[in-house]
Amino acid sequence: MIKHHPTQALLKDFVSGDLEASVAVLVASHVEMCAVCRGAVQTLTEQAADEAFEAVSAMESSPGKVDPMWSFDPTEDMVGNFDAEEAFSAQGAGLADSSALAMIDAITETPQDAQIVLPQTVTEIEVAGKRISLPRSLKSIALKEWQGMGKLSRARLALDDDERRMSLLHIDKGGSVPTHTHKGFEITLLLEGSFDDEMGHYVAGDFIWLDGDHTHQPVTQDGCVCLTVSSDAIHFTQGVSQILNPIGRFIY
Amino acid sequence: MSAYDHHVVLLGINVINTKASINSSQSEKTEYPLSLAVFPLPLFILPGGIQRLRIFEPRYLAMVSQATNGDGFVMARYDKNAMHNVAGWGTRVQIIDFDMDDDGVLVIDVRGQHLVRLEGLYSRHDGLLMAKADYLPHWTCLEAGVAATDLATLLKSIFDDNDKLAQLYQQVYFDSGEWVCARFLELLPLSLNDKEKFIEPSSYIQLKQFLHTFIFGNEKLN
Amino acid sequence: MQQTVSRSDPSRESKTIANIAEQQVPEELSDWLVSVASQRDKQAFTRLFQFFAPKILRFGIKQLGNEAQGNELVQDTMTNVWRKAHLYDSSKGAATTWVYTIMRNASFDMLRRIKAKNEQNLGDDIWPVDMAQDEGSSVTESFGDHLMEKQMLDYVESLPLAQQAVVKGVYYQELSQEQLAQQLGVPIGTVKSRLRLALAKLKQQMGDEYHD
Repeated sequence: MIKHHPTQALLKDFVSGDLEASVAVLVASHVEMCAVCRGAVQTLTEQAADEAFEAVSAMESSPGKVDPMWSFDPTEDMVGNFDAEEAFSAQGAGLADSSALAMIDAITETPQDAQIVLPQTVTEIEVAGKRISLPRSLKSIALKEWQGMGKLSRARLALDDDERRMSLLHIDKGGSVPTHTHKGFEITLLLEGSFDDEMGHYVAGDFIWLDGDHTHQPVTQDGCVCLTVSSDAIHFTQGVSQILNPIGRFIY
Repeated sequence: MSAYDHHVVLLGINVINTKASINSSQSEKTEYPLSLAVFPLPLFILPGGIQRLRIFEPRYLAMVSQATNGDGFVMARYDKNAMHNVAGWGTRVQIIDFDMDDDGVLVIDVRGQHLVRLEGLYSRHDGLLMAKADYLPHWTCLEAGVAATDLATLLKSIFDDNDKLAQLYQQVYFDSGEWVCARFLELLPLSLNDKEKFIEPSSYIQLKQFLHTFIFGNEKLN
Repeated sequence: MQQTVSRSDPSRESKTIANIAEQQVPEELSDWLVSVASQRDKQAFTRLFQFFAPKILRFGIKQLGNEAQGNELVQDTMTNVWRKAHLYDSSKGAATTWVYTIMRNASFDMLRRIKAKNEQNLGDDIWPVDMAQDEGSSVTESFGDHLMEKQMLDYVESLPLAQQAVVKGVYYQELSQEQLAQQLGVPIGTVKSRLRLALAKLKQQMGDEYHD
């Protein structure tokens, strides 16, 4: 059972569209796997919609420069024989009317999307002989080549998001990542398998956000596949592991 | 939306007594009788047994949120001929895990703690059945530490073949005869009437014999 | 406001009605979306436009910083509403929630175009607009179906309806006789006869002590 979820505040930013693309993709992937957060996102979306579409009436009714732009009488053009002069004189805000109506005309000229709802495309990858389906939020994002180093292998995702990098990470059976810390932050979504670190046991669907305050050493018994976003190279903190610092750049 | 709210209410649950212990119940004897909510269901659960329930009626959602204070609630056998439709006994259970299913319905896992005698039943304003629950001992003459080897082997293979069943149990006690027999009694296709015979404190030996006859067709006792 | 104006009648009274519509959310939003989806109903679309456009513009100015881009968001959002209306499912949520999703997605992609000069549209992948429940991997499988005992099902049928509702929501954790037979590697007839034997012996042992 999934025990690690994004915070309510993060979900709220997610719903508002205020998260960076890579973080939004990761949260979306978790939400896809987690019924609890799906419910929360549904509720938050309803609230955001109410806020955007209901609470504006007071502002709208007060005179402002936003308002007149779109206030017009739509019924003038109901049957398609729009009489511009009549509309202008009736409304006294001719330019706004005409651009709104022109926009409506232009939009309704475009064809609707195909009626058939295509079955959800499930992108699958094969990792270590196992087929793993990827979250649907990744379906437009290309996966680059896998690169391996010991029990670790990584494939970057072609998502352009400033300095943040998104990767798929596979840790093979019995593998571990040396104790490390994060200069920036690292978010991990466990897609398949399980791993443990000093803070607990993680299963598929768990969403783990770590920043510079945390040090951890994930170990996996049966192997795991994670989707990660990191904002900076990770730094190994134990003596011997510091030799492995190339791995830090590798994982990042 | 409401389903999520319930999740919020329940966030404290995970920490409640998640270590399964088949005999943990006795230590709490002193607090009785307790006023507890009663969930009438036609199913059978003994101390140590785990059941997954879907909770969607408002009164039972209320019950679940109250149960998180640590008192739990009582699962009692539904009996349409009895007063308030429940038998006079039940199993006090603790919520050990919860989740939402895809329909947003609250799903809880409960573990049987100990048996209780139910008295003073009444329906609360929201229709939730409440009762005074008094501690009821189960199997007192246990063959302490005696394993039921044949039964244990079979139960283990049933767990191995039923992932969903195995997943309910974080800990299993195949080397405990009582635990094995109790799980069998819960699992076997028997009427509730028949199962209920084995809640008697002295019935353990009889259950063991019964299981051997039913499962292996003989009276062999290890 | 619902009866005064029929959709095909371009009545002048609708101006008053339009003003009311700006004050509160019209109940017909959902119907209008359905009309757009099923009949490419331009009038219904116009009403949707009238209700949503000022609010989308306001949202756009807040998110994107200027009126020109706000207008672009109105265009993008309302175009998607027109094109994707058939993906709206009124049983899964309010029209406002769905339009919000369309608007937020368009705004997200616009912001990426502006800030990161990135043309990759991700909004609809991150926040699906088809309102379908994803086949998430956290599916709580109902093993009730194959662990539910037939005899128990019969019993459930005999319960009052209110009780049935509760009971059917339970995942029975019980083996069927078939499963037990399979597990033991014996015919089901053997399971049944062993059960009879065991019950008879039990009755003998316990005498009349026990209650039914």
